[in-house]
Amino acid sequence: MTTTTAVTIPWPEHITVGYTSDYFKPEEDVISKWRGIMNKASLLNLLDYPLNEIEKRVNELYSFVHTYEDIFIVERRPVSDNMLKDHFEKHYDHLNKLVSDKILLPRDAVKIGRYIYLYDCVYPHLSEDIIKPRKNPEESMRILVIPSKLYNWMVRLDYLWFKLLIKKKLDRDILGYLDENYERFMKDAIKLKIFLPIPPKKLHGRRFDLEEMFWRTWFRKVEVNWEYIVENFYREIVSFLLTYE
Amino acid sequence: MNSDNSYKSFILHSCLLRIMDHLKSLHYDECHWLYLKELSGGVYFQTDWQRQTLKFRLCPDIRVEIEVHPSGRSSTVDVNIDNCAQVLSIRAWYPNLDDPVVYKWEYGNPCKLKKEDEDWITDINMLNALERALEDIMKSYNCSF
Repeated sequence: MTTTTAVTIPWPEHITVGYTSDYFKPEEDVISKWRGIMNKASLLNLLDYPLNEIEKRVNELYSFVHTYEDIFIVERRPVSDNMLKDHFEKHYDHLNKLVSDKILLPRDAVKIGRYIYLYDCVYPHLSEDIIKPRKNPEESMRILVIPSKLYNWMVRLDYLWFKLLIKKKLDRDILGYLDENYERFMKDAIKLKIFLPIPPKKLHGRRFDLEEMFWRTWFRKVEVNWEYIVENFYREIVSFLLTYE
Repeated sequence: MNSDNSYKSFILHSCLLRIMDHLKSLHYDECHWLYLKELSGGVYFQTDWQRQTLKFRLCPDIRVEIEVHPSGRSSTVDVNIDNCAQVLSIRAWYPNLDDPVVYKWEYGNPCKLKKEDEDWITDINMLNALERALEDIMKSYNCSF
């Protein structure tokens, strides 16, 4: 299965730059070209390029697909992941590992964890495009569709995350951007009515100093209890909502 | 933030998320009639935590709003979502009509689904009631348009 990792794109993103000279290519050639375009647009292959390359390559991909619309299917659907199980928990496993491998400071891990949580509060409202050749549906690509107002913040978080995971390198410039703009991001998402704090499984009813917990547990190389972390972030966001006008 | 507010938000958000997940699961079920349509620009759902609502669109073009009145009966949502809500109001707008059709699910012994304030189905859980109401909305649409 060659389904590639999600790439974030702004909306509206459909442009109609043609590949007219290739139009009468045999289908095998188109599929072969599709593989190349798909790989080029994958976020994993864009980590050494400037950020604006992501948008450019995704636009290239869409215009290619529109040119050969008899060969490809584009299915738009609501995002399917279960946020806590499929997304958030896995990210915490990675954060734990990055801290214990001394690639990431606990202080930065707390920040990144919080931003992933904010991202996840928006994510369930959104859609994804599944693009696949009709005859080779296994060669599909999954693309997250993000409203343009939220694109800059979300795409940077994706970019920072994959760089951290694949290159083992924290991009401090991007982290700085996320620090400066996360409140703006939340407010914009609330205005668009696509922000729902993801509740933990249950509310334990006690507060704790999350940062201290992270420092202590990670220094002792004990795994962080992610359910408590979700609860802590949840309470923090609900506090923000209750004071938000 | 006091604990009451925190608790109420927790119940409300849990309900909204569970309903959203349920609707998505029906959308993904190829044997099921329910098919969601984008609201706009890649967005399928809107949640308004102040008005306690979830908005979405059914294919071909029926706007639906669900308002949740959280209850105080549960401290977890894993066991039974019915314990998390007292009333669920389901309002649907057909294209070119201003007034919505209204359904209500009320918690009780037994739980009830009302259609335009009349008792319609008794002894029905919340997610089944939601599904029955949406099915009825779609049937009326197919008969009228």
